[in-house]
Amino acid sequence: MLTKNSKKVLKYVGLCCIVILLFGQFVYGAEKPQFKGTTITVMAIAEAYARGFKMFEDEIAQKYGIKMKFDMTPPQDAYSKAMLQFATGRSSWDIVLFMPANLADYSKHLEPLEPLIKKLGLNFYLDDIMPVYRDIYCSWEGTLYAIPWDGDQHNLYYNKEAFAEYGLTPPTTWDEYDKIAELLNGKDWDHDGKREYGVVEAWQRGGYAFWWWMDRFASYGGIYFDEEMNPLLNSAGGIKALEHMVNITPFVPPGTLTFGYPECENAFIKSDAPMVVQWASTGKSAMDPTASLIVGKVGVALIPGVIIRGKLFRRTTLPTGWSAGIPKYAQHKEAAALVLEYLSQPDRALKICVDPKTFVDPWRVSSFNLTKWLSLWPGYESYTEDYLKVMKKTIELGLPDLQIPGSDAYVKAADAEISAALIGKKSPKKALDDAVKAWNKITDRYGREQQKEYWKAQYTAMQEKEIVYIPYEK
Amino acid sequence: MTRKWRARIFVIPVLVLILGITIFPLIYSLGISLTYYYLPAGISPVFVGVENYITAFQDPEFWNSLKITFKIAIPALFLEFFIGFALALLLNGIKKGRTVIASFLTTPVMIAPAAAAMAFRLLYHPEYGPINAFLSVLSNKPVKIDWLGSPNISFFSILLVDVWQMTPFIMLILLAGLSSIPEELYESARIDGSSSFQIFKYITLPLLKLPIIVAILIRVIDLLKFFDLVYVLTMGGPARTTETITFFTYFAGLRFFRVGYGAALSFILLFIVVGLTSLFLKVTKLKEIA
Repeated sequence: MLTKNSKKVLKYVGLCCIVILLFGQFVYGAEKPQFKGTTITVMAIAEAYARGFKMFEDEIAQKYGIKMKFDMTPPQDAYSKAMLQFATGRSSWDIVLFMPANLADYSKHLEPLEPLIKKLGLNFYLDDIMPVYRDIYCSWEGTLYAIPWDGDQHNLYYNKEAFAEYGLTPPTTWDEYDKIAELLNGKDWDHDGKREYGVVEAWQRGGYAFWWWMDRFASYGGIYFDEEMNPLLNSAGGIKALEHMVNITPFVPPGTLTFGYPECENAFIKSDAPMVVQWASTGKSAMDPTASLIVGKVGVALIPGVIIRGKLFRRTTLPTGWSAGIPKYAQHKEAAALVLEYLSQPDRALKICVDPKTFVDPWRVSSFNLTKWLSLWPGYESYTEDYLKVMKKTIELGLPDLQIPGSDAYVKAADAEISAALIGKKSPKKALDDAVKAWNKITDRYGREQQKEYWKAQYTAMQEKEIVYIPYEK
Repeated sequence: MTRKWRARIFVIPVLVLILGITIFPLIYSLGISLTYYYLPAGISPVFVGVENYITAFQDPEFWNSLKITFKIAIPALFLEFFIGFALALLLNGIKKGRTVIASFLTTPVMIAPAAAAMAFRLLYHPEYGPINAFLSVLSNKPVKIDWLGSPNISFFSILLVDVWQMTPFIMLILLAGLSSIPEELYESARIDGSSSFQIFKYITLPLLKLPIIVAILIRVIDLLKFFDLVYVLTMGGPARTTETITFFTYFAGLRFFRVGYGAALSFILLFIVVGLTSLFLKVTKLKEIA
């Protein structure tokens, strides 16, 4: 039997428990507000990117009451469409996916994330993000404006059977790459009764030729400008890089000058070309039996390097990529921040990357979890292991895109000149000299001093990651 | 209030609408064309006078894009006109099933240019495209023509799509013109012993003059503003060999956000279009008087 005092104590304990429970609920509610009836709009650039959001659409609706709708904007139009709206101080989107190369321009129109993190008690596990993506692709002048969505990078993929037949190993230098392309061109290395090509790349107008040239230029130690804002495109390394591209023009499939990502990938996975430098998602497509003819025959390696002063020098590239930010003018900023936090949690970020239907490449340190990836391709352990190793190493060695204001203009101006060399209209030197003139004009138009300051900011961030200009000498 | 004033008041809403949606944007963009305006910087436009126009005339890329525009527009106009005219004459001679055949032939015009371009992008694919496959069968050897990637062929490939799509438009206008020519004129000419060529020269052609002028004018204006096909098929590539003036303007204004320069380019294009159409009208009118 309980005494009167014991009953009193129990009564108080019970009361305290109820208060604690209620208070806890109140505090939790304050940390994770509910947005019942809120619909946020996401500017997605393709179904393969929107899929990452859609995979957790129901969970988010259940947990926070937030619904999502998607505005599919073609990647090449995303920047202009967003800028046109932002310039009028409006945004019909609550989350925008954008190329980090345009971060300088976007940053003026994006909500800094730190205040939202503090206010809503969010945790993006920033220490778990690969440093280059966190510090360069999502931050501008020290402020965090976005969270990575797709950790893009270029890797080398090759057809192991074709290589084995000719006793080849993946090229470690661009010279070897050219030689392999020449050797395998015009041979029926997949025994389908047709002669195949030596290599495939994407040189479509709009940046592609520039990105593929940058793969080589970076390997030659190149970066965009020197410290005085003089373009380095026509340096010895730049010219060598373009000569390499011109060298392989007889060995690429017809149409390469109009090939973008899908056409280039298709030529590789349909066994028309034995080797390709491509974004990491090609590594997933090549293993997809519904699309690929080379499942199980794919090898992956770092993009080739260059022998500089007797040593193999490698610098990979991280072209494009996609980051997710919240426009300043968005209607539902807090709801958008919650959605981004939810989707970017390490386990979910990994799930999105591993999904075979997304084009999303890993950007978190924890996303390089071999066990999870092994479940994607059972029976292909060594490929999976190589794929992860190559991706991780590529990010560590990677040269980020040019991010100063007008980066789009710089890229497209150089792209047009590189294409002129590829069709034989100009020599590599003349094309790059003209590209330098075009870059200087762009710099003057945007204000040389201001551009210099922006470049200094980016170069400093790059130097912190030990990415510096190395003049090429044989 | 007099009847005259009442009528004027009724016109005001339309006048305001026209001023609002046509005249105001035109004047506004003319104003913008006189400024330096870089949109992403978030700064207000700075007045620079006619500097953007001078820059355009000194810009070799502008002249290159103008040259490419005419390189595509002139042969396209000729082909569309002559094929369209021939088809219209042929159809005019058919009595049974003319409407069905005409509707069938006009299908390409009804397709959105971007959709047509997408279809042709697939047809032109060097490796898997039906056109090369067909040519391979004909020649009994693998044909791998790079329709869109070769700098010497790409403009021709674009031109071909435009001819395929817009020839029926000319045909339709000229067919309507031909149908409106009274049959009696032909009958009396035949009774007078005129040859088919004489009938064509002295009856058909003069009476078709107005539809011909209208068709050519519309096509000239359209061809000078040529954009959709280039955007989808080549993006102005390879190496700017298919970059038309509208495409160049689009890149300057909406991709690089040189808004003032883009506006100036638009006005230059407007002057070219107005100049050419005025000249054309003047020439055709002079001939009529002569």
